[in-house]
Amino acid sequence: MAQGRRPSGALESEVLAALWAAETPMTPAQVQESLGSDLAYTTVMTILTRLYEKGAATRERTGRAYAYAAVLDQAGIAAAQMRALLDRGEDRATVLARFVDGLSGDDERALAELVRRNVGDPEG
Amino acid sequence: MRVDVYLPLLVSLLFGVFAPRVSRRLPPARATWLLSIGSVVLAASTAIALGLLALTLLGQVPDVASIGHWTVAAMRRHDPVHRSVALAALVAIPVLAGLVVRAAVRRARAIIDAYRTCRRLPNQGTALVVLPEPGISAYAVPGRPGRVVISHGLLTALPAAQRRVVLEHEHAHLEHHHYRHVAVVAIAAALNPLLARLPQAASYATERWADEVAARRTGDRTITATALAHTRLLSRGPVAKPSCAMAATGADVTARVRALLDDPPRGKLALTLLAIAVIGLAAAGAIDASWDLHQLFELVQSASRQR
Repeated sequence: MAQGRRPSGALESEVLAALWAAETPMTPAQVQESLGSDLAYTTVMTILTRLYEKGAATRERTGRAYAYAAVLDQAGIAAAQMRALLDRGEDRATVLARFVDGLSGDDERALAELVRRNVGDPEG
Repeated sequence: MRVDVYLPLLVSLLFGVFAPRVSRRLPPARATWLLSIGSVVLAASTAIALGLLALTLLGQVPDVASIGHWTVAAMRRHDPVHRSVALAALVAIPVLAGLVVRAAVRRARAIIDAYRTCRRLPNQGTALVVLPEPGISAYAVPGRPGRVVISHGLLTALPAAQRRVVLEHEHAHLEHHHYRHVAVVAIAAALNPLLARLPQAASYATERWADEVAARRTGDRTITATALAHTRLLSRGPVAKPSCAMAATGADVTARVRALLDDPPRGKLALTLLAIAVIGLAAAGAIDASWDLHQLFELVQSASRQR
């Protein structure tokens, strides 16, 4: 993608997801690298600072930079609330937009072939 | 009145059968709008048509006739609608009204519940909610702000580029308020059973819409397709769902993957205009039939006066 990324909700989610996926705190440079996209360093910095201010991330000083980590302690509460929403019946699920529903009779072999061709073994 | 009043039903029948297929050939955003607007117009015009048919029979009830200043005999003589048809419409109205109210209440409750859940979540201000569990799940929850939910299992299983696809896809659902389209079509289909297949078509169209947004934002259709296939493969096996829902979807992820590997969907202006024209035909039929019934009442009024 030639043009720079626009700031959006998805971008912030992406940075936060990167913190979640990492096992140890990450500096902005490490976050930028882990995303492997065309995000500018300053953009990553800005988003990390915003996440810290919102209480979604913690940070600690490592050398000259801060290392950021996702705040985990409220995740259980959020998960319980989501589960409660889904457990209140089939109707509740109808307003959620699932990425894949896991119900359909998909052609698994064709899908696996596609994944293998593009990124190697899907299980790997 | 003899023909017009049946147009909404005829068009609903055609739309109910062909719209799912046609919508897959249109760009998904346009398909979604055509399905939601079309289903509302068809449900409303069908409701009007049934009402008109029922009125021809109700007009023969003595009390109604005296209010309308005509005689039962005159109404019966000029009635263009067969009794049994009018009676069927009269019976169908309360049944369908009950169904649509039930569907609307259920949807409204579900949406309110989603909004309430979003409001109570601990991490206000950020859209992303990570479920600290190894399973594979990702979905969007409407609210203010809406939330994108992803399980830790999926988060760590996908490479960054594919993770981004999932997040862009779910954010697209929220940005374009897809749940509204899906809800509107479901409610319209409850009112008009001829449209029973449209809710599924609408949810497929919104998924495709979000897929296309993700493909555009990531700038890579192949990675978008791969993320979809990959997530589907990861979620196989332990995903236990009630079997009744099983029949509702068919090979959807495979179709979405194929669409992404194809070129971006193109305009199809002629097909779009045809769909709009067909929907318009139903509305025109209902409007014209309303006018015809009005004239019928005037006719029987003057016929009654002459006697």
